Amino acid sequence: MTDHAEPEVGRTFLKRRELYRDRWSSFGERTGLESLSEQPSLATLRGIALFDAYDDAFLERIGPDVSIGRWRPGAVLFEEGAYIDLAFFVVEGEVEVSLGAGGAADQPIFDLHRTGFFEVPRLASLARPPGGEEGLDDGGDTGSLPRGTVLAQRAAKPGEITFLAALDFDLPRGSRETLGPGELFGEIGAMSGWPQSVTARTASEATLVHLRMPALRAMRRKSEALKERLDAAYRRRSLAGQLDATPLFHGCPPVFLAAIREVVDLVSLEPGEALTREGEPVDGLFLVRSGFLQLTQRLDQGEITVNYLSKGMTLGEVELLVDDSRGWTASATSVEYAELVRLPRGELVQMLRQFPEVEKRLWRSAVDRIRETGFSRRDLAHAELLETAVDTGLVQGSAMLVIDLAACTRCDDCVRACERTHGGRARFIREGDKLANLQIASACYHCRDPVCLVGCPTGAIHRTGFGQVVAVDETICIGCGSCARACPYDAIVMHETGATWPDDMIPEGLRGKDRLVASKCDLCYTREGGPACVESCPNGCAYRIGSLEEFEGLLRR
Amino acid sequence: MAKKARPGKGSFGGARLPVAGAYVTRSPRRWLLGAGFAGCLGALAWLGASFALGDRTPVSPGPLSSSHANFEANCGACHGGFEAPAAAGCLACHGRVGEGPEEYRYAAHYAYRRPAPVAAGAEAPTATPAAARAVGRELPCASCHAEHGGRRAALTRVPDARCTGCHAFGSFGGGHPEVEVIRDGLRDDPNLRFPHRIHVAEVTKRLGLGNPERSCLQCHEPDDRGRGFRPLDFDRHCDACHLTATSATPRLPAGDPADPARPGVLTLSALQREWGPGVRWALFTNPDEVREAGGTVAKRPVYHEDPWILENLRRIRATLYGDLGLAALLSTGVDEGTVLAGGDALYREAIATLRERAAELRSLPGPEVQEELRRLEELLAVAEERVERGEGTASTAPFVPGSGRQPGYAPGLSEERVMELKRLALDLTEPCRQCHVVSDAAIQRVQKDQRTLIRAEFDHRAHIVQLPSCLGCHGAIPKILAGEPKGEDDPTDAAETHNLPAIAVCRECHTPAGASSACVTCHQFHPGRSRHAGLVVYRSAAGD
Amino acid sequence: MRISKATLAAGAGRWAQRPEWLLGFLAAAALLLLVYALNLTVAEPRAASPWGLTYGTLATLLLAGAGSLAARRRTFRSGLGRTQTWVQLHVYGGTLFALLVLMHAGFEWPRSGLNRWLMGLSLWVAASGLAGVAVRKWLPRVLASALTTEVLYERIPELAAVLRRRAEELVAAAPGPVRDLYRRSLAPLLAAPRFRWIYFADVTGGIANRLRELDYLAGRLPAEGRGVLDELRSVVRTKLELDAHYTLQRPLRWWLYAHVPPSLVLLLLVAVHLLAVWYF
Repeated sequence: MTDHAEPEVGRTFLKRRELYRDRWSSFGERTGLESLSEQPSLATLRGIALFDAYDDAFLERIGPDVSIGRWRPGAVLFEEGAYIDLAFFVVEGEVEVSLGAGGAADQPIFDLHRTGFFEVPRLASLARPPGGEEGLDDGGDTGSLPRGTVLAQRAAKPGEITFLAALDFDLPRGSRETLGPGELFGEIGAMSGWPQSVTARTASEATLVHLRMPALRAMRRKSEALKERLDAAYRRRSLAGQLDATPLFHGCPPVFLAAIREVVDLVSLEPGEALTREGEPVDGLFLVRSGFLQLTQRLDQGEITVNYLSKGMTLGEVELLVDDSRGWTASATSVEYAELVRLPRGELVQMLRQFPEVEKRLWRSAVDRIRETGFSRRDLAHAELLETAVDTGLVQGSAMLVIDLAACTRCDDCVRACERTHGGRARFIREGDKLANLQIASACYHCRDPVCLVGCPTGAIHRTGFGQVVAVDETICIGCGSCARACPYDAIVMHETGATWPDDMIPEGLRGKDRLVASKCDLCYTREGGPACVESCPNGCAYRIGSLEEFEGLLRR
Repeated sequence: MAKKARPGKGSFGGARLPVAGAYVTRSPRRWLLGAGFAGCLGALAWLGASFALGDRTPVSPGPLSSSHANFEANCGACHGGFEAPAAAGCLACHGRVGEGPEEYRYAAHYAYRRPAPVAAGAEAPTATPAAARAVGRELPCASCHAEHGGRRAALTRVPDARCTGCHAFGSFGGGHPEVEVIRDGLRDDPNLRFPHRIHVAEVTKRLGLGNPERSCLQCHEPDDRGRGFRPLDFDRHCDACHLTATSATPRLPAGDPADPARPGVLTLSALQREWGPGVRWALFTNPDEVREAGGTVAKRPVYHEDPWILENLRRIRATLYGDLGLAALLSTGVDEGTVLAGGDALYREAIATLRERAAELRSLPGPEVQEELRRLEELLAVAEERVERGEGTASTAPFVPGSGRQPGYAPGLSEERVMELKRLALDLTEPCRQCHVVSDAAIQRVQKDQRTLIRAEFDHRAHIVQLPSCLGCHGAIPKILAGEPKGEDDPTDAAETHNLPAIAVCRECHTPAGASSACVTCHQFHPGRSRHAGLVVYRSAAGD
Repeated sequence: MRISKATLAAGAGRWAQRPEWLLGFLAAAALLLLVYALNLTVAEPRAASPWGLTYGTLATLLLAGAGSLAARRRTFRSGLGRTQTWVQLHVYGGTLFALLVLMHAGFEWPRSGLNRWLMGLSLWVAASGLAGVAVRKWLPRVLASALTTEVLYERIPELAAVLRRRAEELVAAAPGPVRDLYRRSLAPLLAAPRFRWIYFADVTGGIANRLRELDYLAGRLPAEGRGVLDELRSVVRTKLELDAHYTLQRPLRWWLYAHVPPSLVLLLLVAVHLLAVWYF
C-alpha cells in the first residue's frame, strides 16, 4: 500500500508538490529521487552495459520510454502490491528487495454469492480489516512459507478470484536480498501487469535506469541475450512459485518443479499473434502467465471460439494425453500481450512417468477442456458468447454491471442511486453493448488485471487494499486522463468539477485550467449494502457479474 | 483469426453510437409529485369550498333517509364532536310521537341488558322503573337503525345480520329453531274440555255444511283486523247446544246462613234475606228455579255463569280458604310444571283485569266488600312489584304466582270438613264441569286469549290471501277427525292441542326468493301495545 | 394428486419474480375472503362495525406501507433492503389494499361524495398499478428480444441526429439510385424520432417493412455500390430501432402519471376520511 491511499484534507496541495515531479517519479517515495534525466542522450545510454547490444537507431526509438534517475539511500522504489509499468536496471549502488513479515495478503475481490432476498454482492474485504494481519484465513504462520505456496493455497479454493503477485522474487517472508549493479528487476510485474510481490528500496545512493514497458518489450524482442537474461531471471526468481500457484502444478513435489524450471521456455505474444494452429504438430504444454488467449476451431469454412485461456490455465494437456496424431485440436490466438511458459513435450512426458499424480491432474484438466470444447461445438450460442466475451473483455471483469433488459423498466434508478451515493456524480451510464437480453453497462468491469492502474502519475487511482477494488482518490487526481485512456471499456470518465487549478499548482502547466477528476465505479466498497445500483434496482434486474457462467445464466435464449 | 477491434472509445451498440456526455439524465418522474400535489390542492379546494358553502355532504357517508332529510345539512342535530350519535337525539322526537317513549325503550330485549349493579347487602331499588335504569345502558338507536343509507332506505328494515351477530341462527331458512311449543311438545292450558271430533262432526251435521273446513269459522271468528280471532263466547258459540232447560244441579244439602261451618248451599230465600252487594240478583230470580225439598236444594235450569252457583261456590271457597281463592285466581294459565319466567306482559294483563274488577267493586258500599278489596289490592301490589322487579326473569327464584301464597285452608277446619266442602263444590258445579275445569273450589278461568306464538307476530289476514284453507296449515284437525275415537281423554283431541304447523310449513313460502324471511318480518324488537309480542322468553323452572 | 411446495413455487414462478411472494399474497387474499365470508355469516358487512373498521385500519396501514415505496425510491441510503423487495411489497400490498377497501365498503358503491372519490381512487390506483405491472413485464421483454441496440429515451433525438448526419455523408458518395431512394423515402424516415403504433404489435416486422425498399435496391446494384448501401441499411435500421425505443419506452414512464398523482390524492382523502370518521 502506498501511503497516500488515505488523503489528508488540507494538505493535499502540499503533498502533491512533494510527490509530483513528473510521471517518472510516480513510483515509490518521491522524496528519494534526487535527479532525473528524461530521454537521456545517446552518449549516456552508450555508457550503460544494458544497451550495448542495440544500434543507435533503436536507441533513438525507445528513448522516450527510458529515463535515468539518481536516488538517495532508503528511497522506496515500489511497494509490495503496487502496480508499476517500469523495470529498473541498477547502474550504480545497491537496491534491497524485501518481503515484509506480515504484508498485506491477497484476498478475493469479493464474494459473488447471491442467496436470500436481502443479500447483495458483499465485499469480502468488508468482513476483514483491509491489509490486516488476518488477511490469510489459513493460519498465522504462513510467513515461513514461500509466497507462491500461499497464493496457490488460495487459488485452490474453488470459486474465488485470486490475484497472483508478480513474484519477481521467490523470497520467503521476512527476508531480504540485495541487488548490485547490472541487475534488472521489476520487469515481471511490468510485463504481466501483476502487482509487485516485494518492496524495493535503495540501500545506498544509486543510479537506476527506468525502462517503461514498450521499451522493455522492444528490447527483449531485439536482443536474444536480453531475452535469455530475462528468462533466466524469471526462472530463477519466480517460476517455481508461479507454477505452484497454478491449479495444475499446485502442491507438486519441489523436485518436480525444480526439474521443470530447467526445461521450460518463456513465450511472449503480441496482440493477435497465433500460438498454435489447429492441426499443426504439438510441441509442448503451455501455461499462461498473463494475458488472454482465444481458442478457436474450424467449422467448415469459418472458425468458432470454443474456449479461452486466462492466467494460470494450461493448453496442450488434451493433445499430450489423449491423441497428438492430429496435432493441436484448436488454434490459440493471443488477445492482448501475453506471456506464457512452454513445457517441451518430450521432457514433460518423461517427467510425468515419474510423477503420476501430475498426470492425473492433467487428465482432469483435459477432461474439462474436452467437455467445454464439445459444449461449444454443439451449442453455437455458447461459442458466440465465448467469442464475444473474449472480444469485449467480459472475461476480464470480476464485477461487471449487467442489466437484464427483459426486466429493466428503464427507470434509471441505478444511475440515480450511483449519483446520490457518489456525491452527485454518477459513475456509470446505462449505455453499453447489448448481448441478447443483457446490457453491459458502462460501469467499471473491475478487471482482474487492471490496466488503468498503470501509468497514473500521482497514484490517485489505486487499490483500496491488496487485491481489492480499484478506486480514484479525487483529492490527488490531477485529471491527466491517463487511466481513462487506458481503460479499454470506457468505464473511467473525466468529470469536470467546476473548479480551476490554483496558481501555485505543480505542474505549472495546469495552473488556471479547469480541474478535471477521473471517476469510476468503486463498487461502493464503503457502503454497507453493497453496490447501490444493484440494491436500488426496483426490478432486481441489475447484477454484478464475476464470471462467464453467471453471465450465461442470465441470458435468455 | 484476426483480432477484433474493441469497441471504440465512447461508443456502444452495433451502430457505434456515441456515449452520452453527461451520465445522469433528467428524471422522467420530475412532474409526478407535482401533478400529485396539484391534485391534492384540487381536492382540498373542493372540500374547502363545500364546507365554506355549508355543504357537509362530501364527508357524509351517504344521504339521510327521506324522513330525516331535513337534517341533511345539520350534522350537529345528531352528531356531537368525536362521539357516536346518542339515543337522546332520536327520542327528542320519537319519545313524543306514536305510542310514547315506552315503546322505544329496549327493556324488552334482554340480550342488550346487563344486570343492574347492586351494592352488597343493599336491596335493589324497587320503586325505580326499569325504563329509567335501562337508559344509558342500551345500545344507541343507530346500532340497529343505520342512517346515511340513502333517501329511500327504510330504517325499520333491520338486516338479519344485525340479529344474527348474537343469535347465531344463521337464517330463517336454516338454523332457525322450531317453534317452541312444537319443539318442546308444549300444551295449551285453556281450562276447557273440548274434543274437536264431536264438535266438528256435530256442527257439520247440524248446519248441513259439506266441508268440515267451513265448520272452523263457526267458532273461530276472525277479529276486526283479521289478524287473529275473536275470543270464544258462550252465548255465541256454545249456547245453542249447551245448558238447555233440563240441565240441573244434583240435589245438595241445604246450608244455614247462621251456621257457616255446616257444609251446604244456601237457598234463594236465604240469599234474598241477606240483601247485600253481589246478591241482589236473588231478588229478581224466579224462586221456582231453586227447589228446596227435605233439606236438600237443587237448581233447575242452570244458566251460564249462573249467579246462584257462583255465589254458593264463592261461599264454599271463602269457608275453605279464607282469602276467597285469589291466589288460585292468579295462578290461572300457569301449568304446574312450567314457570312463566319473564312473562311480564301476561301478568300485567292479568293484573290489569283484576284491577278493573276491583274498580267495579269499589262502587259498592259495605265493610265486607271493602275488606275484600283491601286484600285484593294488597295481593296485586305484591304481584306487580315482583313483575316490575323482574324477579321472574333475572333472579334465580322465578316468580311463580301463588307460590308465595299457597292455598292454605282456613284455620280450624278439620280434614274431614275440607273433604266435605270440596265434594260439595264439585257437586254444585256438576253441570259446569261438563266443559269447565273446577279445582280448589273454583271454576278455572278459560284462557281464551292465550297466544301460542309468544315471540313472533302472525297475521292470519296476510296469509289467508295466499292460503284460503285453514286445514292446509292446521293439519292436526283433519287427522283427528279421520282417526278412531279414543275416548274423552284422548290427548290429541283436547283443547290443549296447539294444532300449530311446524316451522317447515312456514319455510315453504318464506324463502329468500319468496315471501320475506327477514328476522323483523315476525320478530319485533320494540312492538307497540297494539301488537302482542314483547320478545319474552319462556324458560324452564330448572333451566338457566 | 399431491401438490408439493416445489410444484406450487414452480407454477407461481411463471408469473412472478418471487414465487414465494405471489403464493404469500394469494394465501393472504384467500384468508381475507374467508374472514369476509365468516363476517357475512355472523354480521352484516358495515364499514362502521368492528369488522369493517378492522378492514379499514388494515387497508390504511397497507396504503401507507405501499406508499412508502415512493420515499424509498427517493432515498438511496443503504440498510433499507433491496428496492426490489419494496416493490414487491408495494404491488402485493397495494392489491390487498384494494381488496380490503372493497371489504370495508361491503362490495358496494358508496353513497356520498368523499366516499365515492375514495373508492374510485382506490380502485383506479390499484388498477393503474396492476396495468403498470403488466406494462413493465411486457414492454421490456419486447425491447430486449426484438432490438439489437439499447438506448436511453432522453438521448433518442440526439442519436437520431447523429444517424442522419452519417446517412447524409454516406449518400453523398453513393450512386444515383441510392441518392434517389434516400431523398425520396429515407430522408423523411431519418428526419426525427417517430412514434409508431406498429411497434406495439410487431417490432421486428415494423422494422423489416421499412427496409424492404433498401433490400430490393441492394439486389439490383452492382457490387461496388453495395458496401455503401449495407452501411446505409445499418444506419436506417438503427434509426428504426431508435423509433421502436421511442415508441415503446414511452408507456413505461407515462403510466406512472396515471398511478402516482391519483395515489397522492388518495392519501390526502384517506387522511380527511380518517379525520371525518374520528370526528363523527
